[in-house]
Amino acid sequence: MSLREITVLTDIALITCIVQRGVADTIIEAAREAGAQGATVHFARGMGVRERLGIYGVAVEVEKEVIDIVVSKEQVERVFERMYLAGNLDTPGMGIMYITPLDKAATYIPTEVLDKFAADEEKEAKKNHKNV
Amino acid sequence: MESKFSENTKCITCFLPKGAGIKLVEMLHKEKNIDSSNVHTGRGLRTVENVKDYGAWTEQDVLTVVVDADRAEEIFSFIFFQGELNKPAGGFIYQTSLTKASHYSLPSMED
Repeated sequence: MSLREITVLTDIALITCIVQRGVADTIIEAAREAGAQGATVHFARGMGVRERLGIYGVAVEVEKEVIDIVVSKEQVERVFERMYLAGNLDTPGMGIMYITPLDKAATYIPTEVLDKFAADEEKEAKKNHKNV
Repeated sequence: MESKFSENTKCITCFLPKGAGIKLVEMLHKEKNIDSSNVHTGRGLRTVENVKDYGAWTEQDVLTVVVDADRAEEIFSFIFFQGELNKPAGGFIYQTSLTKASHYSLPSMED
């Protein structure tokens, strides 16, 4: 394979989850158990429910962690649900999460993985040819 | 009057090793005439390639660039190769479609 080739990944989605600071690690662990390969976290400052809760708002952390996880469309529902439950996002003030469909993505893919996919595709093509 | 918004735009986001984000911002400005791109930092847990990587957090730059759809392919490839994403532990890049985006241009020095 030429070094100037990009192996484009399609049928993938980005899960973004915004939670109070300190909660991200639990959610990421759940996502990994559900099949996610990696995650990126950055800090942010948020507002919303804290202001509406009045005096009880002090219980909601202003500093947020934003989790980004890219998964295949096959996995996205499962990972999303596991993250939702792990972060207790059904509790008011805990955070929000959403899915963004991606046009395409790319990263380094080891040659042996690409070779394996190519071999599988070839096998599949041969099988289809036989059936015809 | 020229519209202030573009409707056919793409957002390219890239997770890079620490320090690589600013270099790419400069390269995009110098080589591709892109005046607006953003970098923020975070921590990342990457795909496990060996036992040593498991559970290892690393510092990361996150680069975001909004470009017109007709330049998206070119900029995507540029970032991929110049950011060395084709190498192990190089990072991850993805592209999303945007519904609407505002224009950003720098004022000319005469203004």
